[in-house]
Amino acid sequence: MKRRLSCCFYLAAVPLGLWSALPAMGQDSRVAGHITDTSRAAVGTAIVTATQVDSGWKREVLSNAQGYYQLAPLPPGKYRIEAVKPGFKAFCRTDVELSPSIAATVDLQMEDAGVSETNSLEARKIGPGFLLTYLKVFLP
Amino acid sequence: MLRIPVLGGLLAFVAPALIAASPVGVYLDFDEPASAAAMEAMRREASGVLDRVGIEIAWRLVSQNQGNEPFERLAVVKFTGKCACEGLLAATREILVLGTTAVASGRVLPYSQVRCDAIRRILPKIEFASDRRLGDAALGRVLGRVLAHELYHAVLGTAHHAASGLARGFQSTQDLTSDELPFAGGDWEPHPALSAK
Repeated sequence: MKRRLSCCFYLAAVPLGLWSALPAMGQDSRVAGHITDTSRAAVGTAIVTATQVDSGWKREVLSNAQGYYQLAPLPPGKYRIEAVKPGFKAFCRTDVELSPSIAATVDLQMEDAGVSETNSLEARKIGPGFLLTYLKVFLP
Repeated sequence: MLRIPVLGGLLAFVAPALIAASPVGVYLDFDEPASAAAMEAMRREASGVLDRVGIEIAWRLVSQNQGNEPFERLAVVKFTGKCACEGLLAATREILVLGTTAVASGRVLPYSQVRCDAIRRILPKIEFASDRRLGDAALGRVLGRVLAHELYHAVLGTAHHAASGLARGFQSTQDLTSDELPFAGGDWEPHPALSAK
């Protein structure tokens, strides 16, 4: 009987321990939005990063083919939301305040990087975009 | 009775550490359908090489991305050309670019490209292997090494190349097909991109 009780205590302690490790779980917030270019066309496969300003804690997500993204759960606080994708200028929105249990919407509009970004010989040789680091092979 | 808070406290201590060691999400995008054997060998090789430097990978496909899976860090890798041996591409002794990682305004972006056709052209023994399945598996291993090299740039956010090992900018065909091609000690330390949270 004593052993069974002890076993029950351990089983109860596992979720208790995990719960105590995630104190803000019930009060987390989320951010979602739509990424477009200047012609309002959807920008898929952009990496969206939410960085908590005070702690530097961050999470990243890849926008889907329709340009939508959602980052959750995020601890409440002040965030910097940034989107990057080759061919576009990085877009950054600072001072995004995320409140507990509230879903924030942050839509992002990305501008074309333009030709000036591809100004190196390597990049021109490789093609459109700006690809500079590479692995080459040589034969003996 | 005292065991409950002790165990709860232990888990409270351990769980954040487990959460902190979350994997890097790597999204794969293919121009053309790839050989399953090559992809399996590629994932195994890249996972093995990166695991040795403490980087765990969560493999995902861009085609299945819903836009809602968060990672501490993620990278996108596009595969151009045909990632399967077909015995069609002429071999070459030219210097070829096998993989690239994007740089914009001096900043390395976590977007890489692996060029399957270029890799097939410098490995005629693999491209023209009599057993297509074995050829694909050998190709996959080399793809895994090129991929791991590009992830070194993408994840660390560095354009730097090392003097030896898999982080070197130039590789010989012997190295790429050798039994082992690990990163040299210290290539991934002190993990500035991963530790700056």
